[in-house]
Amino acid sequence: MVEVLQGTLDLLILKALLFGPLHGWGISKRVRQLSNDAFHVYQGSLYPALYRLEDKDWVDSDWDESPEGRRVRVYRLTAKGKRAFAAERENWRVFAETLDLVLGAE
Amino acid sequence: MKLGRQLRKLLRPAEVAREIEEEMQLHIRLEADDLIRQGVPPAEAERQARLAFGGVGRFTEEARDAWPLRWVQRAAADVRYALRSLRQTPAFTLTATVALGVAMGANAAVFGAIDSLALRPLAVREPGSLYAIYGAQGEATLLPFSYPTYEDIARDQAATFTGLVAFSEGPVIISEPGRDEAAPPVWAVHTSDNYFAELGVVPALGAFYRAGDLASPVLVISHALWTSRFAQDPRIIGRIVRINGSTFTIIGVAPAQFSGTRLFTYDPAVWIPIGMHAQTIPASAGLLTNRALSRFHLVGRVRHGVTEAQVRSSVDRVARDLAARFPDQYRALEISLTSNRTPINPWLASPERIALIGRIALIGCLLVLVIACANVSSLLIARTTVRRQEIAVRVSLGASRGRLVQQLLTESLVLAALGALAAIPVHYLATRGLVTLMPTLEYASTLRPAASSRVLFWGVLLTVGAALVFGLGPALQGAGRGLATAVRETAGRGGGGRRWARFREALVVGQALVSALVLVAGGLLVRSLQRAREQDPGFQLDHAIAFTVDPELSPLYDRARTRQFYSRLDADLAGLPGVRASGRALSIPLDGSGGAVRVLLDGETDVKAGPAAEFNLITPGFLTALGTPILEGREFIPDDTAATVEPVIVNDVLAHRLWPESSALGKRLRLQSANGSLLVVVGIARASLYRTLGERPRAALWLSWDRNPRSWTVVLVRGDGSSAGLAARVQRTVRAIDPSLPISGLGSLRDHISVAYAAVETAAAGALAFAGLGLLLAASGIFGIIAYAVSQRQREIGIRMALGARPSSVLRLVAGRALLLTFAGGLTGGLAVALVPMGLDSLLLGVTRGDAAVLVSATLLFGIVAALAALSAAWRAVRLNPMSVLRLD
Repeated sequence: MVEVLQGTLDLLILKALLFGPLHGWGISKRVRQLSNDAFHVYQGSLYPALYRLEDKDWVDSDWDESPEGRRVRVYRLTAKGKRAFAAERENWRVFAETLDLVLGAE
Repeated sequence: MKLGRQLRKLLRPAEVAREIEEEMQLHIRLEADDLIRQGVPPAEAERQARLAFGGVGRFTEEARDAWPLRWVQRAAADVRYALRSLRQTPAFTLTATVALGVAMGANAAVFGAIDSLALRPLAVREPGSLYAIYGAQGEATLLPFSYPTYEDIARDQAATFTGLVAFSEGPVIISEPGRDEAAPPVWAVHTSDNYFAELGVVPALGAFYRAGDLASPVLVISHALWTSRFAQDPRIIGRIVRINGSTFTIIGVAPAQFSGTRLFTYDPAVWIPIGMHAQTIPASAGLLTNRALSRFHLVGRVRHGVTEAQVRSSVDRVARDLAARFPDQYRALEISLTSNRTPINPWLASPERIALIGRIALIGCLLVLVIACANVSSLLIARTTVRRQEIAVRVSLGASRGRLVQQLLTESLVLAALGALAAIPVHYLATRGLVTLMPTLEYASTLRPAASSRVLFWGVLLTVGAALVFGLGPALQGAGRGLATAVRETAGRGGGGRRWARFREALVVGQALVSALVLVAGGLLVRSLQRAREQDPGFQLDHAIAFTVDPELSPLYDRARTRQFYSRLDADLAGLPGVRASGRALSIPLDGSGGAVRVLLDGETDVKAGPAAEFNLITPGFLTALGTPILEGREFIPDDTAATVEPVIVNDVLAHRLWPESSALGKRLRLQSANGSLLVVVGIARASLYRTLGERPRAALWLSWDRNPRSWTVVLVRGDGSSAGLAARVQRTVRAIDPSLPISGLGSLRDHISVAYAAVETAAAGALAFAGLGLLLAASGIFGIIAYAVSQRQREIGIRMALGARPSSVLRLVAGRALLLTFAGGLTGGLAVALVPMGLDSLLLGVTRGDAAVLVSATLLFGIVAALAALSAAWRAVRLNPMSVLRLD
């Protein structure tokens, strides 16, 4: 298990939403599946991050009815969020490769 | 969408919080259900789900902090907190609010008065490029021009000025057909036809007359007249009225802010094209063609890009031209330019001097504000230090430094806001006080400071800015120390840090210095104004009444009937029981309407060499009625009308000036030019004040009214009994002769010349108010500082008293240093006034800056008040109960 780096949670959320709208727990579940439970993160910390993204207009939310008849808030990626994800992912790749280059030579 | 969401967060925080909570609880529920599906027992699943989530409360809080408009809520909470803590210390809150409120409100009122008198530009287009143009010949300055000369100058200066306007002023009677014909006169301005276009005034209603309307029977009325006389009737345009009996059509209403270009003169009620002079100005034949009738004031608008030096050289050239073309009239003519950006009255005081007085008063305002702010600042420092314990608790609960500073600054802002609220009634009361100090004039005057929201706004802005600056020090002090220090200091109640102690002491000294400075300067002004008021005007002020009358404003009067009226009036007044003397003249000294002429010895030709003398026309008995002693010779007598050489009376100043070696009696002189008519001196009267209080002795001469009859006159009656009774009898006498003839300004002689005293009295009241304000603020300042010292050192004082310290030594301990600093500051301030010239000299009259009586009494007063304030604050220390103090912590 690794600690989630500051700011990467946002990236993971955006990635999770890339496949379609989800409610909070769904996002949490999808992030865990995508990462094979490799990241250690309190599930609750998802929500402040979600609200921040919402304020940036990267995600949008609506209260909806779940198939089981529960009142849930469903999040979806906005067009702006998709563009932001592409850019962030590119940034991350450059960052990761650079760091790998520095640390890689053992 | 985004804005709506944020607004909802701001407006319905509870609802949003409930939703967040709901969402998180659902998350835990779903996670637990998921675990149950994987075979975990329900209770364990619930526990694991909660653990994995990590605490609903924490994340709710974190989510809220992610809200972008969170600071608004935080500010609202800060304001609530500030209000609560201010309520807990009512004495502090009240002191600070009153200090700020009084300082701001009084300042705004004084600033408003200065603004309306000297600083507010004319309500016209680009007032900065307007200049008043007057002639000067030797000592005689501010000479008006004749209409032909106006036309010459305007034509010649077309390259320098976009246009030149000419105007003359005087009273007219305005009446409506079929209405009361004895309506009181109103002030009229007769202008060239380009007047409104050139000044750039926009009518409030209707239109103005324009170039080409010079002789049209139309008039523009003032907004005030439209309101008072016509109840703002919107159908006023096209209304027919009579002016001095002739028919005119109202074509426009001037805007409320526009009242001509002059200051301290009467408010114009109507504007009339000058070509109509034959109908409105009695005996004005040839006014537009006769070069000798110099009745016009000129105002010009300088073209863009023309420098003042270019304008001056240009008008110098036109002056030389005029002198060459009309050597007799314009010998040695010079032309002066006076900026007419603000309303001006060069006869009373130069615009520079008015601006100087304004600046000094403004500096006074600023100083008072600085004292008030320093005051509140030192109170705040004291408060912050006392609240160290509270701050320490908040620091230990995790409040950041930034949050604490923000909180403390909010508190000083709330305080400033309370002060601003308190300032509003103070401002209105002070403004009303200033208005009642203003003299009541025959025609409404432009002198009227109004409570102005613009002024109040800037005052409040200034103070809020100051509150921030002064609040920052205490706030940083309060939040600046680390937790450990804060807790330790709470335990020890030590001094509030050396740096802040220094700052506080500097504040005390500075505040005392400024207060004493304001007090001493105010004292000097009051003393000098008192001197001016006590000055013997050279005539008898009491037991006399005056009024003015102008029969030829009525179409029923011509020259012959006017003469008849006056001879009957003179006889009836003289025969009135209780009347000791009466007479008539063109003006009464100090009533603000005098004029001057140039005097030449018989045989002399150089106009510039002769002295200028105050000029007046008087009837036999006028000087006696006025109470001006005749030193040699005699007053005018009825037989003077028949004398072959016209008699003249001169004052001793003129007599000594012209004939220093011998008696002036029987000597001869001429007026204005070498071929003016010859005059022979028949009497010498003692000089009096003529134009302003405190003027240097002026030369003056009097000619016989009966030889130079006019329509307009001021009547002076000296008699026994009350002024009111005398006035009533005089009014009955006039009514008995002609009940339809209006008279104006009937009242005591003192009232008649109140204009001369008004400026002095207003200034004295202002100076006194400033001095009192400075003193009050200094007293509350030192009170605050020492009250703080007492509360801060309670424990130490308690121990000392428990150990047997005497009250006197306790007093010395808490008040000694502060009092010493105050005295030092006060003394420095007093000496500063005496030693450093600060532009005060030119305002002082019969008093020097170093006047010992004023310096000593002001400094003494300051010392006594400071000591009393200090003692009353320190007294608490003496009355402390040692045991209860020691139990405090």
